Amino acid sequence: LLDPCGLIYPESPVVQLGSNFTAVCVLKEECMNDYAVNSENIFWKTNHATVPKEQYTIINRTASSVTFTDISSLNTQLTCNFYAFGQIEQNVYGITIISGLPPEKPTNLNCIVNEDRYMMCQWDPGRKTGLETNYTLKSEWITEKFADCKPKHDTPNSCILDYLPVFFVNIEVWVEAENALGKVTSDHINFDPVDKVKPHAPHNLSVRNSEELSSILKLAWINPSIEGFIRLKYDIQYKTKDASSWSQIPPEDTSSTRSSFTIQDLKPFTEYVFRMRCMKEDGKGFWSDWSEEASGITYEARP
Amino acid sequence: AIGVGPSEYKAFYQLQQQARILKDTSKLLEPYMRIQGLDNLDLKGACKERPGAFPGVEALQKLSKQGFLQTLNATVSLVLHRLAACQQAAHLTTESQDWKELCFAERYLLGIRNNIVSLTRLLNGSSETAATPRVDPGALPPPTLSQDSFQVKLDGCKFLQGFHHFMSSVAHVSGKWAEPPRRNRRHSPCWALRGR
Repeated sequence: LLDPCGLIYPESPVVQLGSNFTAVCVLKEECMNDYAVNSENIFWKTNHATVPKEQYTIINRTASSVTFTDISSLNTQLTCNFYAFGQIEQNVYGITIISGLPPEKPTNLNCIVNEDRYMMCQWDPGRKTGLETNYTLKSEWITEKFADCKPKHDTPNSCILDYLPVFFVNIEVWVEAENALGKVTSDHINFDPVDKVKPHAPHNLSVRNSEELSSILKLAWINPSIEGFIRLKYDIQYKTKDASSWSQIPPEDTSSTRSSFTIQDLKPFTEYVFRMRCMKEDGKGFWSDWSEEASGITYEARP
Repeated sequence: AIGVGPSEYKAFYQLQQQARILKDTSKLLEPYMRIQGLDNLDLKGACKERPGAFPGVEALQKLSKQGFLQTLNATVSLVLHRLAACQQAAHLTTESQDWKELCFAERYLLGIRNNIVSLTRLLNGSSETAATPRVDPGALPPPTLSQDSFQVKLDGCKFLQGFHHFMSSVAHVSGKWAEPPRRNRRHSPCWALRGR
């Protein structure tokens, strides 16, 4: 290919939006001789539009610079040119000015441990930067640093750590964000993964009525296996079959680990639907999803 | 809290919970016995803990916090050492359930060691001196090549039996320094009536 007649410096600039930018075009001697030109003959173009001469500065016989204030457009093609023999537009060299913003400090870093799965952390990256910005989730114990977690392309603001969480050991987690214009670190958060659990929902929910008491129904269920690590509390809701809104059992009645519960004060010979969910007893962590619904009919009232 | 480690109470509570998990023989001894082919019934009789191999509850309770942590650390290191040897010798596939159990135990042992460092740092601010009865090396003759491999396996079995018992002692003693008992929550007067 044709050897270019000169070069532009810097060659692939990344410029912060709103800042000033200066490029320098330096002509090669043989080219200047071949075309009988010098730096005075240089004119600049951005995206095929000529830049006003007021923005030029002659540095020396071979070099001319152009300055832009308050760079606003994201990607700009900048070319250095001259008229060969006074007529033919000759392109010397061209670059792309990429502009954007440095990353903002990631905020709202939070993590969740879905039962039986790896811990996932997510954060708010802040404003868009317009540049390729890499996020890295860092995690460590006092005695151990764990491998960096690199988010997947389609989920740039979250990361799934590739080791099973160990409960009852505080872990320190933070996020580093970096692009061509800078690097920034989120606040560190320090927590015990056991306080970030979202348990599986209780399962095998069953409903039994009572011949002796027509106003009660007894629920029974199987707790998620996380029960071996944390004490649970429950949110039990019920409604008559055709109702649209749910009633809730007072939370203080279901505030400790159990696998059954008797609901009182129900109407006799009526079908009720139940659903429930659970979470860590002290309220740290997340509610599980709702269980499968289960229904049952209260016994007929005695005449 | 932002970037701040656990309080001393919380850290001892964590230690208590870890010990509660690891006192369960299904976490280490049982997979070890399956791996070593020691899991048929009459052998279980032979796999008795060696008396005095591990400090009991009374001995642990007499220790200062630092002494307790140093003793625990010594034991955890021993177990991690034996666990590594067992994992190497066992040629297990990473998919096998026993391998997963051993890895689980290893992670929780490393977790205990982490909490020991965390607690030691917290305590270093306090003036408590350490009186440390270490694990009696005499009670645990290191496996030597001259012993036949069955005896080595059996020694490992006895050691782990003692370890699980030791963990229940650790759970008991660390509970003493764990989170102060929460205030009794006020129950609504009709709490007893509504649901059971």
